[in-house]
Amino acid sequence: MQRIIIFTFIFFFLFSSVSFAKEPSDTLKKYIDKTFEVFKTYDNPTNSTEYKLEFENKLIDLAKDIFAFDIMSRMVLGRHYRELSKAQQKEFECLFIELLAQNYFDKILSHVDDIKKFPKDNIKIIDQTIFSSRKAEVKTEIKYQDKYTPVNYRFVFLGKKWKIYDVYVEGVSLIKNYRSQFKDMLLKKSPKKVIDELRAKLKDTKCNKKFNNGCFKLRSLYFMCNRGLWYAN
Amino acid sequence: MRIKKEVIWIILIIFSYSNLALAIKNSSNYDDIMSEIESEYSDENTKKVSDPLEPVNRVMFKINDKLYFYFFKPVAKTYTEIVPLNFRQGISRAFTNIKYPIRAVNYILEFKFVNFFKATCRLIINTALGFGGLLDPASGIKSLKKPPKADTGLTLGKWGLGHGVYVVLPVFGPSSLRDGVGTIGDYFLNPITYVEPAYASYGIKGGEKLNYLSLHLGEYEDLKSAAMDPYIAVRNAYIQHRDSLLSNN
Repeated sequence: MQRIIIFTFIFFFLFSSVSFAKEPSDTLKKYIDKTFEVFKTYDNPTNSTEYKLEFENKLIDLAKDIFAFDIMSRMVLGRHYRELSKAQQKEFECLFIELLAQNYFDKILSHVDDIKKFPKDNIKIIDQTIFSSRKAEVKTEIKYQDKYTPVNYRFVFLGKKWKIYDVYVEGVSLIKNYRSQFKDMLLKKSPKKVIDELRAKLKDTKCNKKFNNGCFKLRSLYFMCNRGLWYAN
Repeated sequence: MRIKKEVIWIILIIFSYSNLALAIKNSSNYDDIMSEIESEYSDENTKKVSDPLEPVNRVMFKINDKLYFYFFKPVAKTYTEIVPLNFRQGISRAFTNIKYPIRAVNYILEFKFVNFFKATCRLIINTALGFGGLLDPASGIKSLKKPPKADTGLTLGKWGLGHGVYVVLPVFGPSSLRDGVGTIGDYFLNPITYVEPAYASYGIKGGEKLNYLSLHLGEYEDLKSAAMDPYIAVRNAYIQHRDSLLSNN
C-alpha cells in the first residue's frame, strides 16, 4: 500500500492548471490541494472499467500540465534523441507517457478509496533549492504508516510555469534510471527497434505509428511548432 | 476607410514579426535550457559502475527472480496472512534496534559523533520504554529523529572507496564489491551472529529477511513491470540509492 500512496503523490500531487506561481514550492502546494480535490470527485460504486479509463485519461491530461513530458522523454534518450526522426521523437514521447501511465496510474486507480482517506498532513514540503533562475528542486517527504519516503522534484522554469522534469524517490532519479536502460538498448539496437519494443510492452496504446503532433505542417513554421510554440504552452 | 485598413495591416505585420522574434528568442532559450538539463545527466555526472561480470550477473538475476516468485514470495505472503501488520512493523523495529552496533561503530568510523550519540540515546530509550525496540518512542522526540543510515559499505565509501565491480549475489541480490565487503563487516558487527548455536543465529536472520520481505511485497514487481530491462533498472537503482545515502550523511 505504501508504494501506491507514493505513486499517487509522485504523479498527482501535481496537476491542475495553476500557473504563474512565483515559486516551485507554491506550485507544488497548490497541486497537492488540487489533487485531493480531484480524487474526492472519484465516484465509481459499480467499479466500471469505462469510468476508470475516463478518470485515468483525465489524470493523464492533468499530469501533462505539470510534467514536462517532452523534456523527460528527451532526457531519457540522451544523445540518441537526435538520431530519431521528428515523427519518431513524438511517437516515443507518446509511448513513454503511456508506459508511465500504465504502470503507475492503473495501480493508483485500484486504490482510490485508500488515497481518499490519506491525510494531507502526511505530505510535507521540506525544502526548496533554487539552482539557477530556471532550475530548482523541491524536497518532500511522504509519511505512510511509520515510514518516511523522501520524494524530490526537479523543476524547470519554462517561460510562464515551473514544470517537473525529474522525480527522485529515495535518491533514485526516474529519468536516470530509464536513461541507463535505454542507453543499453540503443547500443545494441536501432531506435526503430527500441520504439517497437516499447510499443510491444504496452498493453494497448493510442499512440499512432505515424504520430501526428497536430502542429502546422508548413515547413517554415515547423520549428516554431516544436520549439517556439511549445514554449508558449 | 482605406487608411484604417492599411493601419490594420501594418499592425498585423508588426505583430506577427514580433511573434517571430519572440519565437526565435525562445528557441535559443529552449536550447540553453535543454543543454543545462542535459549536463545533469551526462556521463561524468552519473557515476557509472563497471559491470564486467554482466553475463554471470544476469544469470544470477534470473535465478533470484525465480527464487523470489516461486519460493520467497509465497512464503512471505503466507506469513503476511498470519502475522498482522502492526506486529510485523514492531519486529522490524526491534531488529533495527538490536543491530545498533553496526550503526554505532560506523558512525564513529565516519566521525559522525552526533549521530553516534543520537543512535545511542535511541537505543536506550527504545529498549527501556519501547519493549526492547518493538516500539519507537524515541522518534517522538524531535531531536532524536532517525539519523541517516550507516553500514560498513557506506563507511568504506566515505573513505573514498568506489563501488568497484557490480555483483548480483545469490538470494541477497544487487551489491557491489565494496558493499559486499561491507556486508562482511556488518556480519561481524551484528549481535545476532553471536547467538549460539549457529543454526539458531541463521534462523533468526532468515526470520528477519522474511519479515522485511513481507513489508516490501510488490515493490520488485512494480519495478519489473515498469522497466524496459529489469536487470539494468535494478542495477541503476541500487547504485543511485547507495550513492544518495553516501552524499546525504
